[in-house]
Amino acid sequence: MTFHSHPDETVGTYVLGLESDDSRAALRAHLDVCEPCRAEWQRLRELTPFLARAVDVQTADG
Amino acid sequence: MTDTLSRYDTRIRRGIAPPPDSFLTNLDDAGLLLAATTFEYQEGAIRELYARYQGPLFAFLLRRLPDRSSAEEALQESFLRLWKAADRYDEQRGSVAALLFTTARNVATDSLRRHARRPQSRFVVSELADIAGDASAEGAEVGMTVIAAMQRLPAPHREVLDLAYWGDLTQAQIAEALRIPLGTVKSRVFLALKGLRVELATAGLVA
Repeated sequence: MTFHSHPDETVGTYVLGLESDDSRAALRAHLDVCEPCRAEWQRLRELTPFLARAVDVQTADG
Repeated sequence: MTDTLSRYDTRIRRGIAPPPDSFLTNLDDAGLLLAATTFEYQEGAIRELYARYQGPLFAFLLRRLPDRSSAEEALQESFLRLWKAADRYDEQRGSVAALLFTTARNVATDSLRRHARRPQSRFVVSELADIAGDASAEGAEVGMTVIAAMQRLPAPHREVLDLAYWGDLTQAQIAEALRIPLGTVKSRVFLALKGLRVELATAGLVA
């Protein structure tokens, strides 16, 4: 499986760990060669620790 | 919706209506929750919602709770709480699916607290080290800021993020729960994260 166009929107679900193994591998390969997508991925992946922090707060407070 | 129900009542009385169960099956989730507030349909409506969501909801609870019996207990409790809250449901504030998973999350948290156990996050701890003041008051403040930022996102975007992150659902389960195509799940998650990043930048948390 390869991406022939920019996978754009898949970057979001990839960052949240929602993509299948196949899809993850294809996206990683694409990120290796595509600077704009890699930049988008970098920007979105910065969010995961913040989301985890929000989950911590919710879990602690019920 | 109430009109639909009362019209249907008349048809039942005249003996010309199909059985109530098929009537309920054709309602959307919000319609079912409204039906759950009526004496006639409460049981059937909750049963139908249960049929729609028990699979993904049980999977969700199993991932958060230590064993099957706790998950089964939490599943029943979640639907009970949903039914009790049915008359306060406001469609503007989110889908029934989102409400159900939020309710289940709270039930699981209560259950874990009773068992003095913490749920395990599938997200790596090393990433958390990036944030200053791990497990401190500062960390909690960051969490509150993120929650507030999420609440400013458009409801459809917040909802997919809720289900993915708090609900711990897969893409396919989110698509199923919200009755939207997989591609829509992807695009909403993408837009939700983009929007969240803008909010967090405004709050000064990211560059």
